[in-house]
Amino acid sequence: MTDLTGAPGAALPAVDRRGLLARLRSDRFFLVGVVIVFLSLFLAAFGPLISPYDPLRSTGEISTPPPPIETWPRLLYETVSGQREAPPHWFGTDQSGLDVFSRVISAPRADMTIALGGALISLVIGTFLGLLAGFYRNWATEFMMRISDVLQSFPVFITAMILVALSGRQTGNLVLALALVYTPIFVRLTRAEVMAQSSRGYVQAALAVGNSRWTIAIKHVLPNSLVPSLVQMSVTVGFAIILTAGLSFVGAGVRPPTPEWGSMISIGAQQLILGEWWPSVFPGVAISLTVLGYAFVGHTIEAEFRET
Amino acid sequence: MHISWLHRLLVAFVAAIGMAGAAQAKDLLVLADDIPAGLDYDGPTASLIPTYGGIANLLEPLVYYAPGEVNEEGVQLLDFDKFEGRLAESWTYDPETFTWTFTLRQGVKGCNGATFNADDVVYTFARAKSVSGAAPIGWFLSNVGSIDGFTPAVFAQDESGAAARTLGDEVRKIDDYTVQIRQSGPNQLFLRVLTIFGLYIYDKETMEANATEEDPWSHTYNNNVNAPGFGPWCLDDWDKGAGFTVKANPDYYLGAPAYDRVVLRKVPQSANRVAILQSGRAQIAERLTPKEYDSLSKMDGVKVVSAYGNENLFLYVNYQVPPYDNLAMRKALAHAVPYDKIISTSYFGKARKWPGMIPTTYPGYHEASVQYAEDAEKARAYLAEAGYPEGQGLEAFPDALRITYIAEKESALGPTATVLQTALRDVGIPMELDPIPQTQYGERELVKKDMPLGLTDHVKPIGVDAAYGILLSYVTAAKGGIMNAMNYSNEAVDNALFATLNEADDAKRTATLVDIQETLMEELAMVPILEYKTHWATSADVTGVVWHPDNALHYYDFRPAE
Repeated sequence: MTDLTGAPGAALPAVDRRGLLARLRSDRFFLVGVVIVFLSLFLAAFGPLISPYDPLRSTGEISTPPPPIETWPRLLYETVSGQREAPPHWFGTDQSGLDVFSRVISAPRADMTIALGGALISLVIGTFLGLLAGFYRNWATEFMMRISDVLQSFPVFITAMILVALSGRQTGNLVLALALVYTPIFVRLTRAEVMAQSSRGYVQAALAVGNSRWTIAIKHVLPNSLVPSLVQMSVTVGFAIILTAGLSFVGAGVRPPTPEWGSMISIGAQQLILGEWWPSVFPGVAISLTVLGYAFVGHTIEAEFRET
Repeated sequence: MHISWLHRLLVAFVAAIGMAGAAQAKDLLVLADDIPAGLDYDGPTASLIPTYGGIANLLEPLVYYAPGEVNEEGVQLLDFDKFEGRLAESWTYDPETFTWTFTLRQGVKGCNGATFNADDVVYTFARAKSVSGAAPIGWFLSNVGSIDGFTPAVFAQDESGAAARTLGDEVRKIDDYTVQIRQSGPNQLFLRVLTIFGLYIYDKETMEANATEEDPWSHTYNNNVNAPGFGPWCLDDWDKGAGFTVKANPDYYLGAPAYDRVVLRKVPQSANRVAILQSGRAQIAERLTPKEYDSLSKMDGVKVVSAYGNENLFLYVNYQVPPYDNLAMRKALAHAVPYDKIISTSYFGKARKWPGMIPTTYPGYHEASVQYAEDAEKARAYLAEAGYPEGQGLEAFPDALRITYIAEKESALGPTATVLQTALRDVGIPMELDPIPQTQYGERELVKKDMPLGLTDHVKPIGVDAAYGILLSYVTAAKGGIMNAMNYSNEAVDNALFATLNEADDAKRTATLVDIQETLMEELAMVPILEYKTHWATSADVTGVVWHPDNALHYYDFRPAE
């Protein structure tokens, strides 16, 4: 991708964008992933606005099963043509009478806000700390790395659960908890890359011409060290979605009845034994698809960067 | 779109992993969310239903309620106006000296071979008066029943307290099978408190054999090892984390139990209890959700019966927390509750609107003239009267606008909380839901009493009388209202209640209780929502369901169906 041995200020060789786009277009997994990622972001923004029912409001129809799949075209036609007084419960209703479809498409607002927020904050902080730790090797950065080791030595889920239990179940606290547990990953990745970059000739050359260490770190080393973290980002978002849902599943996530996939699975799972699968299966499928989408995108990006 | 094979697979899987080799022939396998954490009714776990259950099966009362009618579902109810002898065979009352003379049953054998006599009764009351346990339930009940000398003086830390904690002649052995108990005044609650597990009789011999110098009343032994008494069951095995097994007392004076053993197994998830019961591996599943009972009632091989007892659902509204310190705000809440919708959707019709402040099945209950029906317009009007037209201004109380409930009861209370939230928002009260862990809820309910608004379905007075219920929940907390989580306080109610406890004239007593209940309803001491039926889910081959006010299973009632 870039000529890492180039002199400071030298133009980086252009990426073969046409070739890259052609490769991405032909990668079906990537395309599916992109669609899912965009859909999840779209629903995070507009899900509650386009849902047929208020996701927080009981309809009074308790534990209604989804309509048989063969009736869906007719129901869709009737809905679109305005022949129905109320839209069908495509995914049924749960034990509180909440429309499962409306909640499934509204849930990304909570899930994606927490997962993306946590992952982005951890990317920013982790990259910055990793840059410091890789470029300035002294007792302070060593101490920081040991703290990072300690944080990583605890299981992510347990650590996040403890943090939420201590700070409360507000969305902001969940975002910060996720950011904290994922930051060490970015610190370590960035530090390793920065250390590798630091020994390159362009850094020595930049120093020789009088650039300050801080300028070199920010202007030259950081851009060349971002790749592993950016690849990791898409993987982390996937994990963060699962962690967000997992926290809600054990009652440490967002408060019910806020639509959130993990919480929906947790509450719906109790009804499985009564034969009511729909309150938990649909949000479960939604989580799986979303994580898969981010994994597809991440996998392709990683492969591309590895090849270049 | 039911996936029946998945359903069957789940049932088989849960049953297989949960109950492998759990029970044998002539065993009764009972599944519950929890098992007794202690067996000392003066101990730290005395307020928990599993503790009641453990004690009620191992110990025996002096008197109990006689059987009443059998309801349409086959549940044996009790006659709260008629008492029958248990360890006491008969009794007389002298109104001049307020003294009860009990003639005790002879030839009653305990699990450790001891023979019951008057010393056991005296020991039990002496232990209660010692207030040496973590929670002096025995003293409290004796005090409620006006047994002479059982006064708050026992809590004094000086010498007078030590003297007050020593049993005098208020509970006196006349001979081996005669005991006298003297009251400080007439009190109609006396026989009723004797039916409550907190005054069941201990086997003195075994208790004293396990006493130590530091623990002369054997609380440690009682709480952690056994509750020795003269009940129908003897403790066989007790693992506090997993199970509680009792075996039949062959010498039980009413005849040996129908089962050899009862195995109480802890299965925390109600869905798993349903699966195991369905599989035929267990005979009884306790404390399921209304929906699970409803589903089980339609399944083969399982019987679900129910009865109105003392279980209810209501909203705590904290009198010391704005905006609920405002009567108009409380009335707005009461008129916003969608009673019928909750009954039909969350309780599947197995509940009825609660038109009072104590269980409608209890003697002394009065249906207040003031009632609060669902009426959104009235709710909005009261909200405006409270100073919050269309909810404007309520944003100043974000911490109070939460329906707090026990998170572990999400399956049972979650649907109701959601319906309530929707209805309250419709009238302009922007309510949030706040499920919190059971331990935290218990602490805030009984110790801190700081919950602004709580949705509760677990408070039920075991003492079957309106005065007992009022004393527990509506008298000022500092004066004895130990369940008064609302911090409701009305001096007139306190005075009237305490006066009526010692009122000998039935008509006057009834009139006072009516007045108190009218006041409680007018002031909305809490927001009563509904009374729900107590349910029992058993396998088809088990019969003999009896409703007891402690809502615990008394295993002696059960027998194999013919």
